Amino acid sequence: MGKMSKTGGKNDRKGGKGAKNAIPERANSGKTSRFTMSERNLGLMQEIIRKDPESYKEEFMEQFNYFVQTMKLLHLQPEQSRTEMQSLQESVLFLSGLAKHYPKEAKQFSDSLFELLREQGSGLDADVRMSFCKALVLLRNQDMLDQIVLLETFFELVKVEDKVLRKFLLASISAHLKRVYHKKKDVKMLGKIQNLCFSKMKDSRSIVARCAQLVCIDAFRRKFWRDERTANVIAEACFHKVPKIQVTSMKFFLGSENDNGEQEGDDSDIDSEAEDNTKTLKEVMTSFRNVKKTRKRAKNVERAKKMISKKKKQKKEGRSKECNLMAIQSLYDPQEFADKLFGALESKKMDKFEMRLFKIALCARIIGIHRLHTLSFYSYLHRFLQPKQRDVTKILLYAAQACHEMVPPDTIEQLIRVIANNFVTDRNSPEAMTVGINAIREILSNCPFAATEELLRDLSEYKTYKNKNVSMAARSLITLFRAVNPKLLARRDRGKPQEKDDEEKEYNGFARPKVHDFISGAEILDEDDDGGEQGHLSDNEEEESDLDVSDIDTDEVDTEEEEEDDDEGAPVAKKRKVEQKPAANDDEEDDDESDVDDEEEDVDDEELEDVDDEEEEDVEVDDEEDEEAEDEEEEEDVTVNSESATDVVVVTPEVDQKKKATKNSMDRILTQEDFKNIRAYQLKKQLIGEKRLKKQMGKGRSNADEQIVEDMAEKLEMKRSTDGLARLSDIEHFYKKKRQTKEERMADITAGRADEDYKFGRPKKNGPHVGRTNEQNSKKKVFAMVKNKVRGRNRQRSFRDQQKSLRNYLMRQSGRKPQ
Amino acid sequence: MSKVSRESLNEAIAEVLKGSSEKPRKFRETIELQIGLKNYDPQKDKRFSGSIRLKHIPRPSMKVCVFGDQHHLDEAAAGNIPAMSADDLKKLNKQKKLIKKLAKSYDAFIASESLIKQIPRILGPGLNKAGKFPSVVTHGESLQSKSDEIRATVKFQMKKVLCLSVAVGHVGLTQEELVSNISLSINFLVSLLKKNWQNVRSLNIKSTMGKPQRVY
Repeated sequence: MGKMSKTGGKNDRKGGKGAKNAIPERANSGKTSRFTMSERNLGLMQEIIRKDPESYKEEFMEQFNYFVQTMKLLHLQPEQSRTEMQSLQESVLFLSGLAKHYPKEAKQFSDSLFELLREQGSGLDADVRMSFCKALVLLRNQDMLDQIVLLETFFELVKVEDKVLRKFLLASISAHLKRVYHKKKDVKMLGKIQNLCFSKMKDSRSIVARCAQLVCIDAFRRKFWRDERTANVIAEACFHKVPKIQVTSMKFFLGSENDNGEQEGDDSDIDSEAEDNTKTLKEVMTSFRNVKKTRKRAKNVERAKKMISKKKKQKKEGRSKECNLMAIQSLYDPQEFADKLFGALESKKMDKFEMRLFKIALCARIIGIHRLHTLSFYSYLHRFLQPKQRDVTKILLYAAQACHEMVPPDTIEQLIRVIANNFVTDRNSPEAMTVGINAIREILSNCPFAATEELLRDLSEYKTYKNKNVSMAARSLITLFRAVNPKLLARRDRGKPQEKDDEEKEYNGFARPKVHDFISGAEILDEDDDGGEQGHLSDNEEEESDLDVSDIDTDEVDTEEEEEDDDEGAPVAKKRKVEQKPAANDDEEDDDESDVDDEEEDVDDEELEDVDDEEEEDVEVDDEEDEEAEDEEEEEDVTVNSESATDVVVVTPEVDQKKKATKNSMDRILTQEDFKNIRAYQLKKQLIGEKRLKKQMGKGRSNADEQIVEDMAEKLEMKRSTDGLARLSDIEHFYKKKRQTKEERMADITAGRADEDYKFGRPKKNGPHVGRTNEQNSKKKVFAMVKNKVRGRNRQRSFRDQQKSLRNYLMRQSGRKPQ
Repeated sequence: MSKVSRESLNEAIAEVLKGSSEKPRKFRETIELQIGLKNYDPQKDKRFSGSIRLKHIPRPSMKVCVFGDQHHLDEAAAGNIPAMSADDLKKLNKQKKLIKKLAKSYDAFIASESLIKQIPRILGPGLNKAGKFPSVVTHGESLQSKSDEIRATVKFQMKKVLCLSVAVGHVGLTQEELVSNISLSINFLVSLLKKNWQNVRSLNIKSTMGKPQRVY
C-alpha cells in the first residue's frame, strides 16, 4: 500500500514536470529541481527559493501538489508507517518554511493541515502529527493564520494520548503568549486568548481543562495575565471534580519553591550575574587587612559591608515568600471561597491525607490574610492536634497562620488549651513539648489577647525545664510577652519596662482598634519651624542615633549608649512619666484610666529595677518576700513620686508632651526632615529599651538569651513588612540541634564531596598551568625555548659585575688566585 | 521647608468652601482628601492601615447602631440611639441577605463587652465582610461619646490600587477647623508611609460635588 502511494505521488510529480517542460527556457531549471528532488535535498531548494520566490514558484507548486495528493490519501488511511511518511514530513517542513512567500497557497496548506488534525488527529502517526503541529506553529509565528483557530485545534489535540505532543503544545502556547505580550503588546488578542482558555477550563474532558489550567497558571506567574480574573478562575478550579486539578490550583495559591524561581524569572538571572561580580564579605575584609589603612579605604569597606548585608537581607526577604500573596489577595470573595473550601474539608468524602493537608493549608492562609471569620475551622483542627499525628508540625503551623486579631479570643483559647494539653505535658517527648510551645507562641503573637494569665504562668514554668529545647522555647514565649503584654507574666519574668509603646499595633484588644490622637513622637519637634534651642538638640540627637544605628554591635557604642542612658534617657523617661499625669487629668475618661494604669506600671517597673538585683540572686522568691517587696514598692512609689514632683517644678513647668505632640501634628505640616527626626528618636528609644533588657538580664544572661531577644525583634519586623504569616521553621525551631544519625552524616559528607570546589573560598580554577609559579613552569619548558632568556639574563649584569668577573677570569688565566 | 505650605493649604480650603457656597447643594457636602502614592508596590509591600481621631467630626450624620446588653439598651433608648439586643440579632438567623441589609443600613456598629465575643457566632461573617465589625464599648463609657468618637475616627487603608481617599470634614466646618483636621490627617498618613513624603505623589482636597484642589 505504501509503495502504491509513493508511486502515485511520483506520477503526480512527473505530471507536474511534464507541464513545465512545455516551456523550454525552464527546462534546465526543471532538471536541477528534479535532481534535487530525487536526492530529497529540500533544504537547499528552500534556500534557493527564498532568494527569489517569484521565479521559482513552480518548484514550490510541485511540492505543494505532492503535499495535496498525499493529504488526500492520508484522509482515507491515516495509519501509515513512519518510513512511508518521511517524504511527507519533509515536504511539510519545506512548505511551511516558504509559505510566507505564497500567501494563497499558505492558506490552503494550513487549512488542509487543520482539517486533517481535527478529523484524524488521534489516528495519525505521532511523528507526523508532531511535524504538522510544528509547521502550524511556524506559520503562526509568521502571522499566516488565525491564532484563535490554532489554539482551538491545539486544545482539541491535547486529548490525544501523547505525552510529547502535549508538552510541545503547552510550551508553544505559552511561548505564543510571551510573544503576544512582549513583542506585540496586543492587549485585545491577550484578552481573546484568555477567554478561550477560561472556557476551556470548564471543559468536560478533564485533560483539556487541566491543560488550560496549566496555561493559565503559567501565564499568571510570568505576568502575562496577572489579573484578578485569572486568579479567580484558577481558584474555581480548587473545586474541580478531578483531584489532580484541585491540587494544582491549591499548590498555585500556596506557592511552591519553583514558583518563586519562575516568578522572578528574568530578574533572578540578572541578580545572579550581579552576584558573581560582587565580592563576598570575607574577600572584602581580607583584602582590607592586607593594605595600608587610609581613611578612604576604611570608608569604602564600610560601604561595601553595608551593601552586602543589604543584599543579603533582600535575598532573604525575597526567598521567604510563603504563598502567592498576590493571587490570594485578588480573590473576589475570600469569605465565600474559604467557607466553600472548608465545606469540602468537612464533607464526608474521604480524601487522601495529603490532599486534606493542602486544603487545610490554603484555608488557613486565606483566613489569615483576609482576616475572615470561619470559626468552625479552629475546632475542626482540634482532632488533628496530637503528637502522633502525621505532619503535625505542619498542622500546627496552619493553626498559627489561621489566627488573627479578629477571631474571638475564646475560640483561640480553646485551640491553645488543646495544644497545651496534648503537647506540653511531662509525659510527652521533649520534641513534642518544644513544638507545642513554639506553636502556642506563634498563635499568641498573632492574637495576644487570647492569652490567659494562668496558662502563661503555667507555660513559663518550663523555662527551667531540664531539656534545653523546651526551656528555650518557654523563654522565647516569655520574651514575646515581655514585649506584648507583660502584665500577664509572673512578676519576676516581666523584665524592666520598655519605653516603646508599640505604635505599629493595630489593635489594643479584641474589637478594640487602636486609634491615634496624634503622631507619636511628634513631641520632640519644635513648635516653630525655625529651630531654637530644641531644634539644635534634636539635631544632636539625630547624629548620635545615627551613630547607634550604624554600628550597634561594636563595644564602643555600648559605653556610649550607656552614657546616653544615664545622661538623657533616665531624666527624659522620668519627665515623660510625670508629665503624663496632668495630661491625664485634662483628658477624657478612658484616656485617664489607661494613663493611670501606665503610670502604675511604670512606677512598678521603676521599682523593679531596684529590687531586681535581689530578685535575680534568689530566683525562688517566697510569698512572704513577695509581699515584702510589694511593701517596699509602695514606699518607693511615694519617693519616686516626690522626686518626680520636684523634677516637674525644676525642669519643665510648661506644656506636657502629649499636648505638644497634638499641637505639633495639627498646626503644621511636618516635613521630611521632621519625620527623619521622629524616626531617629524612636529608634533610639527602642535601642535603649533593648539595652536595658539586656542589662537587666544581668549576670545570668547567656548568648542564647540575647539570641532570643534579637530573633523576636527580627520576627516582629518581618511580620510588619511582609505577609505576616508564621513559618514552619518557627514551629520546628530547636535550640539544640538534634544529633545526626550515621546515615545523615554520611549523606552530608557525600553531598559535600560533590561540590568540593565550591565549598572553601573561591572555586578552583582549572587550566594547564594553574597552581605553579612561572619559575616552575620555565623548568618544564624545552631548553631551546628558554635559552635566550638565560642568555639575556647573563647580559643584564651590571658593569661592576662584568668588571669583576673579567678581572677574575684574567687572574685565573695568569695563574693567580681570583679575588 | 515644608512640602505643603500653610498658605497654599489655606487657599485650597478657601477655594473649596467658596465653590460649595456659590452653588449650594441640597445636602451637606463632605470634604475629602485624596492621596496618590508612588514608589510603592502594593503586591510586595504590606498594605498599611491605621486610624486617627480627628478633632472635629468629619461625618456628623454617620449612623451608628448599638448591639447592647440590657444596660446599654436602656442607655440607648434614653439617648435615642438605634440599638439591637442579642435576641434581635438572633432573629436574623444568620440569613445572609438580612445581615447584608443590616450592614448596609448603618455606617458603623458598636457592641457591649459581653456581646462582642458572640457576634461572629450569631451573625456570621457578614459584618466582617462589609468591613463594619463592631468595636467594643464598656459600661464605663457613655454611648454618646463612644459613637462620637467613632464618627471622628478616620481610617487610612491601602487597597489594591495606589490611591486612597478619606473624608476629613464637611463644608459646615470653619476654615480653621478644616485646616487642623486636614493637616493632622496629612501628617498621620505621611507618618504611616515607609519613606514618608517620598511616597506621596499628590494630595487633593475636594468637596463631594466641587472641583478638586491640588495641594501637593
